[in-house]
Amino acid sequence: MNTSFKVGAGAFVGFHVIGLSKGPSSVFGSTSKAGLAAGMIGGPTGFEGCERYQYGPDEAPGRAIEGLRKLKAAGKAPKEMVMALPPGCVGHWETGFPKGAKPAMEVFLEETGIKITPVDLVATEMSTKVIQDYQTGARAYDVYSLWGAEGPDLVMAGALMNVDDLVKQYKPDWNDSKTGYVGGDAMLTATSKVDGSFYFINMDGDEQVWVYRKDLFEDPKERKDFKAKYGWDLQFPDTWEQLDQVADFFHRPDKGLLGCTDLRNQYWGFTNWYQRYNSMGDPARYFFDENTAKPLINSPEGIQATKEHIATMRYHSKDALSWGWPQQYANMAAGGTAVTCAYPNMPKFLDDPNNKDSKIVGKIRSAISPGRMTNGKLIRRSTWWPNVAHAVPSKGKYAEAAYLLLQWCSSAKISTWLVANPGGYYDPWRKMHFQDPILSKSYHEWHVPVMVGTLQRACPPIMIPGVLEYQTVLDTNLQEALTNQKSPEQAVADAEKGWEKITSRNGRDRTIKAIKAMRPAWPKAIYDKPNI
Amino acid sequence: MRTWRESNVSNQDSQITHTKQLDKGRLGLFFTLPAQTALLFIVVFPLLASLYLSFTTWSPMTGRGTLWYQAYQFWAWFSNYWNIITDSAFLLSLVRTVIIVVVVVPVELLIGLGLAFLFLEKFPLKKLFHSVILMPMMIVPAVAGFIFYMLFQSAGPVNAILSKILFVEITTPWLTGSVTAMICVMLADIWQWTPLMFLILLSGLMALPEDQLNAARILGANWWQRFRMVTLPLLKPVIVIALILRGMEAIKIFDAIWLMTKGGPGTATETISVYLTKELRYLHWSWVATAGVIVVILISFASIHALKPIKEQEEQT
Amino acid sequence: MIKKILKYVLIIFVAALFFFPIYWMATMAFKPFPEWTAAGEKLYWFPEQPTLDNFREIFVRRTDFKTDISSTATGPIINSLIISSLGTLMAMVLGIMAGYGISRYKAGGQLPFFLLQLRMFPPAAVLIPVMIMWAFLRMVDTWYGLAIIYGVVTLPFSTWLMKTFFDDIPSELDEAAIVDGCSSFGAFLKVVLPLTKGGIASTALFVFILNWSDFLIAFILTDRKWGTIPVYINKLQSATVGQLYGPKAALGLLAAIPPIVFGIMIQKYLVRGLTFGAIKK
Repeated sequence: MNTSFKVGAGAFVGFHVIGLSKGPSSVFGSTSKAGLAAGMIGGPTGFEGCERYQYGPDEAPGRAIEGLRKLKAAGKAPKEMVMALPPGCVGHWETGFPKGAKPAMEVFLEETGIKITPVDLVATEMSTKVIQDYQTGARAYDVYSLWGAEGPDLVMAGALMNVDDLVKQYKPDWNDSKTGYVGGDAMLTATSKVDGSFYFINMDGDEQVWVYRKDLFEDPKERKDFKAKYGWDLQFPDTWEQLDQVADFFHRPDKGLLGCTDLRNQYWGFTNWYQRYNSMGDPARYFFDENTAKPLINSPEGIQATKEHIATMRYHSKDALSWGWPQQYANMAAGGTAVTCAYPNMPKFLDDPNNKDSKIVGKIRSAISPGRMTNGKLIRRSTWWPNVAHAVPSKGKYAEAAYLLLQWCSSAKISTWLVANPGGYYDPWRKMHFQDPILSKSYHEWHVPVMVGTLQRACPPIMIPGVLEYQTVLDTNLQEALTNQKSPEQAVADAEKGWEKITSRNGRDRTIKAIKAMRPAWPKAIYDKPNI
Repeated sequence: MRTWRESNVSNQDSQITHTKQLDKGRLGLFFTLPAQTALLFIVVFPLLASLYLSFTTWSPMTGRGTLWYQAYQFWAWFSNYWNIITDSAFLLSLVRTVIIVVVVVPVELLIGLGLAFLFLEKFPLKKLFHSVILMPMMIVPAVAGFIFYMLFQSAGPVNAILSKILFVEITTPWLTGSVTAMICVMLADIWQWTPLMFLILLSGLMALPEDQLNAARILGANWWQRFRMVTLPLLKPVIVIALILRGMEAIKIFDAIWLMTKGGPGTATETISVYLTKELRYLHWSWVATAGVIVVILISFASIHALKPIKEQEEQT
Repeated sequence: MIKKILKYVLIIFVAALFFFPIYWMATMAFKPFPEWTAAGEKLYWFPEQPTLDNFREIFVRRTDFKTDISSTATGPIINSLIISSLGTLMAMVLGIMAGYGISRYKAGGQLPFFLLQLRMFPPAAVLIPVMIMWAFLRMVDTWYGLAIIYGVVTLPFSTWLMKTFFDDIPSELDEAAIVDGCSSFGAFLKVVLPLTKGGIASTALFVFILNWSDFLIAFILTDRKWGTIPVYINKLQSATVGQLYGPKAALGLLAAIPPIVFGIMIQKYLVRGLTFGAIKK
C-alpha cells in the first residue's frame, strides 16, 4: 500500500511536471494509476515491457480515453456498454496477457469508469442479430461485431452508424505511416469504409497462410526419397503443381498421415478455390469485371481452378467435405497432416508449449501460398477473409462512447497488446503488430514475415452487397462439383448464372460501384522469384 | 293426436332441451374461448404481416434500411408468387421435404408398431428397456445433431462397427455423398422419434378389448388373420393420430440437418426449413414471407385430405 | 421358446441401437480435447483419460485459453426449466379446457383443424413477423414472452391429445354427476378430469419435450438474459478449437435429465394413457 502510494505520488508529480510543460489539455483528467510510465495517462500495466503500450493524451487511444472522461464528467457516458462478441474473441477482453497484466475490460473500466459487458454472439449469426436489433429497434447492443466482408450488406441495411464526424473529431491512428495497415490506405478503406465513409472498424487480420511440418521436411530419409522421385529439394513449394507433388508424397493414410487438409467444407472451403483462381491473373484474376459486374469465373481459368480443387481431394481426408475447423486443427495438433492452409493463428495455438494437446510443438513452419508461373514471374496470391470488425449501431444509445471504445481498442498500441493475446482469434494486421516483440513471441518470429508477405499478396474476398449469397452460390456449386453431382464446367457456369441473378436483383449500378471501390485493395505488381 | 297435456309436456321438453343447448353453447364457448383468444392474438398478426410482406420486394437492405412497415414502398403485387412457383431451389426443397416425410414417418410407424407388439409380453428387465427405448426423444436436437455428425465421419464409430460386422473395411464418408447424406438425416430423425410412435402405439395396443381377439382366436384365426381382421381396424384411430402428429413435425425437420450437413453437400439435404433459414440469412425477407404463404396453402390442401379419416371418425361418434 | 428368445434378442438389439448415440454423447462428456474427434489417430470408444474439464468449462469461469464463453450454463439451465415448465402449463391449461369443450360440446367450430394446420408451418416462415410483434410488445428476452409463444405453438398438441382422452370418457359420467347436483364445470373438474390423469401426464411430457428442445424460436426471441439450453449449446465455440464438442456433450447429458426424470415419474401413466377412442368400438 505504501509503495504504490509513493509510486502513485511520484507519477502524479512527474505527470504534472510534464503535463504543465505540455499544456492544460493534458492536465485534465489525470489519474494516479500505478504502474504507468511518466506522461502516460493509460494503458496496460504490470508486466515487462508494458510501457510500449501505454499512451499519452495526444495519442489516438489517449484522445479516446480523454473523450470518454469528458463524457463521463458531463454525465453523458453510460455506466455499462453491451458489446456483442463472437465467443472466439472474448478471451482478448476477459483474459489478461501476458502474465501480470489486467484484462482489457478491467483496464478500460479503470480508465473510464465504464464497464464492458460482453455478450456471446456466434460469428455465423452476428449479421442476423444485428439486423434484428436494427429492425425491431431493440437497441440491445451498444457495440456490434460483424464479419468485415458482410459490412457493406449491413451498411445497406442501415444498421451501422456513419462515424466520419467522430473520426474527424478524435483522429484515430489507423493510417499512421509508421504503425498503420500493412496494405496502407487501400486496405484501410476496404476494411472500414463503404461509399467513402467509415462504418466499421477492423480488428483482425485473417489471411490464408500455409503451415507445414518442418520436421518431416527436414527428415533426411524423406528428403532423399523425395529428391529421387521428383528431382528437387524438399521445401515448401512455389507452385500449385509442386504442392501436388509434396502432398502426394506425404499422403499415407494407412500410417495416419494426410497430404494436405486445407478446408473443403461448406462455408469455409471456397476460399481455397479463391487462392487457386486469383493466382491465375497478372497481377491477379478478379471475380468480376469492374465496368459491367459480369462474373469472370466462367472461363478457362475458373474451370481450371475448379478441376484442381477437385483433383486435389485425392490427398485429403475422406471426410474433407465435412471437416470443419475443429477437425482440421485437431488433426494438425495430433500430427496427422504434412501441409495445411489455415488462419494466421495456427502457429499461435498449436505451436504453443502451454498447449498440452498439441503434439507438434516446435515442429511447424509457415509459408506464403503457392502460386503460378506467368510470364516468367511467380505470382503467389492468397485471400484475406473474414476479419472480425466492430461497429457502432446506427440507433445506438451511446454512439459517441461506443466509437471511442473502438478508437481505443483499434489504436496501434492497444490493438497490438490485444492481438498478442493467444486467448482469442484477433490476428495481426498493422505494421506495429509485426514489429512488436511480445506479439512475435506469441506468433513466433519465423511466422511474422510470412504474415506480412501474405497480407501484401492477399486478394480481397467478395465484399459487395449480397456477399453471403454470392459466396453460397459459388460454394454450393463447388460442393456439387466435388461430389460429382456436376462437372466443373457446369459448376462454374451455374455459379455465373447465379451471380448474375444476384447482381440484377441488387442493382447492377450499385454492384459496379462497390466492385470499383474494392479494386484499390487488390495486390498490385508483387512478384516472386521461384526458389526451386 | 296429442292431448293438450302431452303437447305441453313436449313443449316443455323442447324448451328444456333448448335451454340445455344454449347452456351447452355457452359452456362450450367458456371452455374453448381461452385457446381461441390465445391463438387469435398470436397467430393473426404474423399471418397478416407475412401476407403484407409477400406482396412487396422489401428486404432490410432496400432503401438503406427501411423498416418493415414501410415495405409498401416496394409494392410488387404478385411478382414474388410468380417467381417463387417457378423457382427450382424452392420447389426442390419442397420435393426433398416430401421425400423425407414419406420415408421417415411410415418407417417410424412400422418400427414403433413392431416394438409395441414385442412389449405386449412379459420379459426380464422390461421397465429398463422401456426407459432406454424412450431416451432418444429426451435428447435435445441441438446435441443429437452433432452426435450423429460425429458418428457418421468416415473414421467414426458407424464405419468402425460396420467394418467389424461385415469383415470389410468400410470408410464411406457418409455425410459427403448426396444420397448417403439424405440417408443419414433420415436415420437421425428415425432414431429421435420412433420412441414417440412406440409410446402411442403401445398404449393403443394395450387398450384393445380382449374379447374380440379371444373370439377370433377361438374361431381358429392365425396371427396374421387376427392382426388384419381385428387388431388393425381397432387400432386405426391410433395409427391415424400417430401418423398425423408425426407427419406435422416431420415437415419442419431442421435441427439435425443443419448440424449434420447444413443442407449439403451442395443442396442435397436442403429441406424447406433449411431453404427458408438460408433465405432469411440473405435478408430476402419478403421472399421468405411469400414462401411461407405458399407453404401454408399447400399444407392446407394436403391436410384436408389427411384429416378426412379423422373427420369421418368425428362424424361417427 | 425359441421365438421368445429371438424376440428378446431383437429387443436388446433395438435398445442397443437406440442407446448407442446416447452412449457416445455420455462418453464425449468426459473426454478431453484430443479424444473428441477421430481426426486424430484413433477412435476413442471410451475416454482414455476421463476428465471433468468439460463440466468445469460450462459451470466455472476459468481464465485459461480454452474458455471463451462469457457466461456459464447455470443461467440457461434455470431459464429452460422455468420457461419450458410455464409454457407447458399454459398449453396444458388452455388445451385441457379447449379439448373438453370440443369433445363434449363440439364447440370452437373449425378450431381443432385450424390448430393442426398451425402446427404444420415451418417456423422459419413466420419468425420475422413474430420477432417484430414480440419486439413491439417488449416481450423479447423475457421469460413470459418465450413461455407464451411456447404455450401457443404447442397448443395444437395439447388440445388434440386431451380432446381424444376426453372422448374416451363416456359423457354419461358427466350427466350422472350433474344429476347428482354438480354444475357442469364441477362435473368437469371433479369427475372427468381425475379420470384423465394418465392422458394429462403423457401430454404434458410431450409438450415439455417440445419446449425443452426448441432452438429457433428461443434464438430469435432471447438475448443475454433468458437464453435457453439449446441457444447456449450453440454458443459453445472457442477460438482455439472451434466447436467445443466435449462441453456440448456434457450439457446435452445434463439437459437430458429433466425429461428423463419426468418420463420415469409418469411411466405408469404413459402405459395406461392413450387409447384414442379404441375402447368405444
